[in-house]
Amino acid sequence: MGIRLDGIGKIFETDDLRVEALSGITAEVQDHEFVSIIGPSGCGKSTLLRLISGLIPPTAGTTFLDDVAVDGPTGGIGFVFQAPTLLKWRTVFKNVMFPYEVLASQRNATASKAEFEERAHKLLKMAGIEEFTHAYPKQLSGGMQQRVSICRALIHDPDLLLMDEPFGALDEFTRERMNEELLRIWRETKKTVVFVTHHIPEAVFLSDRVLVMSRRPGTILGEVEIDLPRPRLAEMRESVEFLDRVVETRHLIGLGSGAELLSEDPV
Amino acid sequence: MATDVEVVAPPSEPVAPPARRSIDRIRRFSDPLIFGVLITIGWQVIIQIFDFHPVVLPPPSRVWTVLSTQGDFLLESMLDSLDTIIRGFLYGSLFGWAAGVAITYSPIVRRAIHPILVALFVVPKAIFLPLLILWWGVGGFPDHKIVVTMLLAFFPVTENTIAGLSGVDREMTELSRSLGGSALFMFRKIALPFSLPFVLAGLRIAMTEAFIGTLFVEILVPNEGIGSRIVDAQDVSNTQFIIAAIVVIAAFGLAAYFLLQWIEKRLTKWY
Amino acid sequence: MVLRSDSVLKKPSTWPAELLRRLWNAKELILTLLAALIGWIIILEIQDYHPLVLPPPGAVWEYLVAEWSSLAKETLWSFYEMLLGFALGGSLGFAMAIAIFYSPFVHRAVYPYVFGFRVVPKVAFLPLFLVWFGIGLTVKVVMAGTAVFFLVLVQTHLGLATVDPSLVELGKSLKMKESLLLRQIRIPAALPAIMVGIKLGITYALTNVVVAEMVVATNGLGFLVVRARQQSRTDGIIAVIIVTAIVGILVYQLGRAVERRFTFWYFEERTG
Repeated sequence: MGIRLDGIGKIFETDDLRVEALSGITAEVQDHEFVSIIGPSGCGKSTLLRLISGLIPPTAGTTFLDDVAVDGPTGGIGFVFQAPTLLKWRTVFKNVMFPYEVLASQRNATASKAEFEERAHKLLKMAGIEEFTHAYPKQLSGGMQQRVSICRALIHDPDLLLMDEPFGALDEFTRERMNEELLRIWRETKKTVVFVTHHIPEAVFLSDRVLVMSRRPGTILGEVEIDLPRPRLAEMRESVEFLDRVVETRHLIGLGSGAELLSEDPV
Repeated sequence: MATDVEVVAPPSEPVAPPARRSIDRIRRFSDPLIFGVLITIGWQVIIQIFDFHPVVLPPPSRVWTVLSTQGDFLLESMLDSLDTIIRGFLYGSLFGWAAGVAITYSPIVRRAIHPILVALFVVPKAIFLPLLILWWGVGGFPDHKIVVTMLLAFFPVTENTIAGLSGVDREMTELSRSLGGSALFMFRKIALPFSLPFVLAGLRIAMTEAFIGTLFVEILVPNEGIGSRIVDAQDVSNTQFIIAAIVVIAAFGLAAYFLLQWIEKRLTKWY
Repeated sequence: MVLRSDSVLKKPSTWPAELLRRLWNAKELILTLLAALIGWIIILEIQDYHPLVLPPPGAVWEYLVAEWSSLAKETLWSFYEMLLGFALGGSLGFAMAIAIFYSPFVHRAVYPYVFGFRVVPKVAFLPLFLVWFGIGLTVKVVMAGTAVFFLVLVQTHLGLATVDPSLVELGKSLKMKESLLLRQIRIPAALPAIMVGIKLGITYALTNVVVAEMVVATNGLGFLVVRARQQSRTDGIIAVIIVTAIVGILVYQLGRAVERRFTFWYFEERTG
């Protein structure tokens, strides 16, 4: 699914406060592309994701999904949040099947239960948590719960996957492993992915392009083309090309004016 | 007006310090027992020393006599009260829950009704009694005892229902909405199960309040129930009966509390 | 919520505007109360009840005006009894909670009984207290005190037991003596829970005082409502109910204000 953002702006207003979250966002994501959005806290990354999915309307500009203007929540989008947000009272399997229930509850339902169940089992197997199919979220670790969350986001076979700092709560080792798992799943399912993070190496490792956002009001400062070969392998994290891209991204964000600091005399 | 009345379920209180050694586990039972025995002995001793008239402070033996000889009578009276308590509890909780749902989902209802409900909670409900009796008499419909009990029981359920229903993760509702889920669907499949632990905790508090409500009506307007029998006993200075009755009430109150707690634990095992 | 000034605008507000805004936000409540008042009048028009059953709002108002000194005096009495009971029960409950916290023996031995008696409606003790204390001031103070005692005890104990362990470790690492640790770290950290107990305790104390007054019927708001009933003054009954309601609400707001004053930092964190 291709995405086109055209001059997107978003203002939140309450009785006594007026916040301009996003301003003048124009960008494009190609079909089957893996794009990361990186930026400081509070820059509106999450708001942007919700705008793309149609959950909230923009105050200015239009979002286009496959050249169709977005007018409200559309199906065909999978969401993964920072917290696994699983339904604690349901088993892993029933959690993954949740989107089926939502779709089936609507009047023009065409979802086939058998099809969904089959996909659920396949996804759980692909994510490597098949043996926990009938366990409860309480019994799973954070990383495993997040995998369930990813399966749930894929079960209705969406064309677009929106991920909002999904590995933010994990430790570094698990995060790296999950990155590799995610790429494997992406390779097998070929979705378009928009991935929000504020972990630069993660963004570089995963994506085709990295979009850098500014502080609030959020706008696109620039982008970094990640032309590293696919499939991305763990060793690539130590390659010169990888680190070059990381540095490039850091500079775009405004970090690492290391050159000036190092030249200071320590006296 | 106040919307944060903290009748919301408190975390479970530590009834005993953590048992670090196996001796502690035994002491969990033996210590209260020892303490109880000491108190009983002390009770007896104080009576001997101060030579209290048995009307003021009857010796433990007399209380025990009442419990054993008038056990059936005490039980029967308690069951009479329980009838009112349980009915008031059920109606009040149902109403409280419905109010909680309405308040959570309708800002208009919330702004209009919630302050009134909070006000009702902080007002001493006993003061309504003369008016209720004037309007509907004793033993008519609606039974003033049940009305007062309902008035006391509904509020914890309302507050906890609100807390439970509004505590749903925003992302969960967003997920549902992005797939086209209706509000009713989200309510049934997400909010309702999510709020279950909260509502159950609220019910536990409501049960305690129901006890309070029924009992104080029985004491203020003696008719049926163990509270009224206590007033009868007070009229003839039958102090040992009063103490015995209090023990019976405590026993039933505890039983109800633990029953509800057990139900809560069973239903929310995997939460 | 302090952010870059060019992306966040705090709209200016003057106090009359604030007041109007608050009134506007309470419009549904005001409308509901007005509707109740109008409903009252309409019912009387339709049904023509005997004033003994349902007096018109005007009669209630007249009663309030005529009897205001008596109402004020008895209100102060109730308030006084409640405060005494609150002070008594609160301090005892607080002290007991600390004893329970520091002595595992006391905890194991006593707490189950506390738990058991907490479930008993304190009203059940009223006849017993009447036998013991007669019908003077004492019995009302004790009634109020009992309610507050259990509440403050449980809440204080809960607060102390759930103090963030890292705060305690901080104190210990600074080699604080336990008495200082208690005063400077444990109790302040337990304050939110304790304040909840105080806020609810004040309300329960008032309830128990009113119940006691209704039985003993010598002074206080409870006495007033019983007397009005005996005099068959339904307008009086309703008037006293209204006054009691207002007192109850004020008492609760007082409790909340105290809570806010002592735990303002906690509130910031919660609503932020």
